[in-house]
Amino acid sequence: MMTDNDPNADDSSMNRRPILKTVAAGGATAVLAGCIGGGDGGDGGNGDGNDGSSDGDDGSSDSGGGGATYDVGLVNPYSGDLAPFADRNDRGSDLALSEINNESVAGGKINKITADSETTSNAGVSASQKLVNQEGVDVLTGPCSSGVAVSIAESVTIPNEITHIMINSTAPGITDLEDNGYVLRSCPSDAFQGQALAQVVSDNDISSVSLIVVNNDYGQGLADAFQKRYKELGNTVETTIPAEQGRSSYSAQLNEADNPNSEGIVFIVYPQSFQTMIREAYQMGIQENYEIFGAESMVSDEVEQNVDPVAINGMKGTNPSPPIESEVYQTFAEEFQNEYDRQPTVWAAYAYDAYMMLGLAIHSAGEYSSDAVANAIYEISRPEGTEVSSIAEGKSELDAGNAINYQGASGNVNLDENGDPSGSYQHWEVIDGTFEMQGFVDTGQ
Amino acid sequence: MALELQLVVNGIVFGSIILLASIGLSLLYGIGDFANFAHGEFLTLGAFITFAGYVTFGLPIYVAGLMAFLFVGALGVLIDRILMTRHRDSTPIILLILTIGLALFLRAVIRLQWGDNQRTLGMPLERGTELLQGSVGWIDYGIRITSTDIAIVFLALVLATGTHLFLTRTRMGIAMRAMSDNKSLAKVAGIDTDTVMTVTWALSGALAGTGGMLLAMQTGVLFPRMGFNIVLVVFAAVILGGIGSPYGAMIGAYIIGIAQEVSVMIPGISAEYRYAFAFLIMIAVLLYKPQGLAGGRW
Amino acid sequence: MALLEARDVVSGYGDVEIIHGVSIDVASDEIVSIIGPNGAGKSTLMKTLFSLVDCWDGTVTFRGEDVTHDQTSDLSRNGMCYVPQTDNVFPTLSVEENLRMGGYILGDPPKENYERIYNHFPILEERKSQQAGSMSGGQQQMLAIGRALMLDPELLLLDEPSAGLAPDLVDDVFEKIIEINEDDTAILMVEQNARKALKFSDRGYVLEMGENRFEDTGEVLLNDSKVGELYLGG
Repeated sequence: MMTDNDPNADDSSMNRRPILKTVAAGGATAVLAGCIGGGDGGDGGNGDGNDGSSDGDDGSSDSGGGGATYDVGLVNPYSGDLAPFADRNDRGSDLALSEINNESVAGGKINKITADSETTSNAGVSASQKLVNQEGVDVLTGPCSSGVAVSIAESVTIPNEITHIMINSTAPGITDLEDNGYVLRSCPSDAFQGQALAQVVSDNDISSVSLIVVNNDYGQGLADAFQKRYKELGNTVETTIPAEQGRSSYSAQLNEADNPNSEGIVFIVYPQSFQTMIREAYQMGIQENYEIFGAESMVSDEVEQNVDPVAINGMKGTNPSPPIESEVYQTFAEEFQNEYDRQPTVWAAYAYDAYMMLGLAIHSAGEYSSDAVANAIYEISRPEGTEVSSIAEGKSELDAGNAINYQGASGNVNLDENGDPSGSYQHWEVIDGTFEMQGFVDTGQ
Repeated sequence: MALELQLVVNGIVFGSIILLASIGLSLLYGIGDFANFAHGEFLTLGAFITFAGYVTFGLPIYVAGLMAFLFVGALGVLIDRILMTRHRDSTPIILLILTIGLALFLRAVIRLQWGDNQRTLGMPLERGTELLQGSVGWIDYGIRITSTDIAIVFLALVLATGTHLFLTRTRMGIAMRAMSDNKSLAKVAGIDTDTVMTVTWALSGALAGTGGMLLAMQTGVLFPRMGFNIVLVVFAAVILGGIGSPYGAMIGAYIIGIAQEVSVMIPGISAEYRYAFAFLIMIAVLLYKPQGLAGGRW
Repeated sequence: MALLEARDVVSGYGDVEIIHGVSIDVASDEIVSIIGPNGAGKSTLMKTLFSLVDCWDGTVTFRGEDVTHDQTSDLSRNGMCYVPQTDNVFPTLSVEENLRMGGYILGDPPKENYERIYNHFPILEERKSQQAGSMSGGQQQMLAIGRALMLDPELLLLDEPSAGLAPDLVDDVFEKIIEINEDDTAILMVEQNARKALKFSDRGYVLEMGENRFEDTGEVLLNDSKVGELYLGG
């Protein structure tokens, strides 16, 4: 939830107030109420629309004069366990930025400043401290792993009242952070994926499993959600075995998972550890005796390229998936293909949406500050608004004083009161060493 | 609770991997009186040289391993001649900082050369052969072994034996032991302690380089922190065995290797805690024998 | 010209000057003892002669050459060897390995070198595979001397060879020293057992407070009442 005693917020709204009063006299109270409430009521929508329109006017006059630059930080795992994610985040965000900066939002351009999280909390926190304290960014995006994201949120972004848009951090625990509304994400919580994975395992008639789980917020969160749903579906989790990243051997974990009561083993680990694990599992003959499943973290080029197909063929799991049939996604995928000569992953779509929402929020707020973005970003994707899927559409609707509902490449990205979008998932199976999507999961909820 | 012999076998394999690193670390400590914190990076480098030989140049794996042995050994010589020779009489804290700096430097070089992303050795997958199957009483003697496992244990033992012969049969090897016994007497006796130190670096590096190759063969995955991630366990083995004693280190490596694998059979100890268990064993032994198993002897 | 000539040697540790200009000669085939009270600087002088302690001033010549600042290993190579007072064997090495290290400079020392030492000390041959650290103090002392003899030196520096030995063993060690001397090795030694040492020494020096105090043949010093009273315990 927003605080209204934040000095920065006061400064910026001080300048605004006369404008609000004159241009949107009637709606002003509603606007503030809406902001403070963090978007818990749709009735603020009109007011916001008006607000956006007045600032949009300011914005267009600014853009004539060359415009402002809005520094946004991206903490990205350029090295470490999750390094494969860094490119996806860069590609997705750059695609969005080229559109945003072509059109300009609130008369300015977004300047992305990156820093390496090294996939560790220490490095991630110091990288974001640098972005916030030295580069002076008002909005931070990234990092990747949920554990690192929580460290950054707790020690950098929340205390400094920096709006923090997480792109890949899917740990359910993030939903419950006491973040005063500064932390939100463009990817869905694993609570949803855990349910989908449980559904898939259950649908395969596997009624008891061992879980091998990376021992961080991501793994714990996903495992908890899995376990809860899997039990609701009438099945048993025999053991949950934590596994640390970067070990040279996981034979002990695999031995523990090698449990005669289990019919399957579910891996909720990262690609690097998984490669070592699955190699050892094969040597131990695990694949002969158990059905194996994996979470989305497994789905990566690295696993496809580096793991011998015989070790993973037949493995099944889930992956967050954008609504690939939707027009928005197809346009995004086409542009992505043109730009990078490859098909986007869902993570690129989340990164793309994060920056698109950020762009629209800046335009809607008419200014760039942490509080302005945090307030506006909930409002540009409400079901009541006019559906838009590009910056140009969004700007023209906002400038006309209408509320908008951004339709993202990754889905409708309607943020709930915790700043979480709901996701959609596909289930996959490894066929000839490749992850093949098999259609959307019906979680029956 | 059943004793699974498989876990003991796994422990022997893991013990063999840390064996070579432990011997080298212990030699440097015993002879040079300092802990080489760059030892983990020696392992990493050995793994990546193996990668370069096996994947980049397409050489047979053991030729690639020989490259790792020679290259990291040569690196040890270089480090000693360029850097450490100026610090023969430096205080332990300076040597500590020096080797930590060296570790960071080497890791950066590895990152520059091979990048941050993980690499894969891509050795063919092999299903373990079932040697035994079944159980007697509370002992489950079902064992599965791969040829890689056997190669790892064999190579480690061959090199450990080679090191033993070197230390007991050659003039240089005996001089290393003499210097570890009493450095000032070694100088009085006319032993060229400077050269002995350089040879120690070479041997320590070569053993760690080969250890890195074994590590890469076992995990299949290479990344810049791989050596650093196990160097603490190597230290545990060395301290358990009696720091400075290569023979103690050999015993320590196998005790630590087996203990941490077998620990998962103890009810309530999850696999996550096996490293912690290895250190617990170390502490327990040190309480009983404060100087480690070798008790200040070789 | 004497084999070893030390002239006005000044040395010490850190800032503390311990030897304040001592002069000593050792001729070929001589046994020379340095005696004096504790803290007289006897051991420091030995270490200075063997370049284990820096010589601050003065000169040391050996066989007519200035060796004041020579490396320890060069001195060994050229015929001067030194046996420290304590910790003078490698405890975890076998007897044979200890001797081998004594001849390190030679590469692999020839068999004769071992045999020469085994002739002096038959016990070492009997125990050549035993760990040095597990032997008795007297045997270790023999080994220490044996190690230094591997290079067949012209001058042997012995720092208190009888330290810590039982009285009958002291005599054994002294006997061996005389035997070695008869084999054409000059001996310069520091001794606490001053009376016994002077008896078989050709000459002796009395050091006190880092300075020469008396110098004469062993016999004269033994019979000098002043020396006897002050340094030989009456």
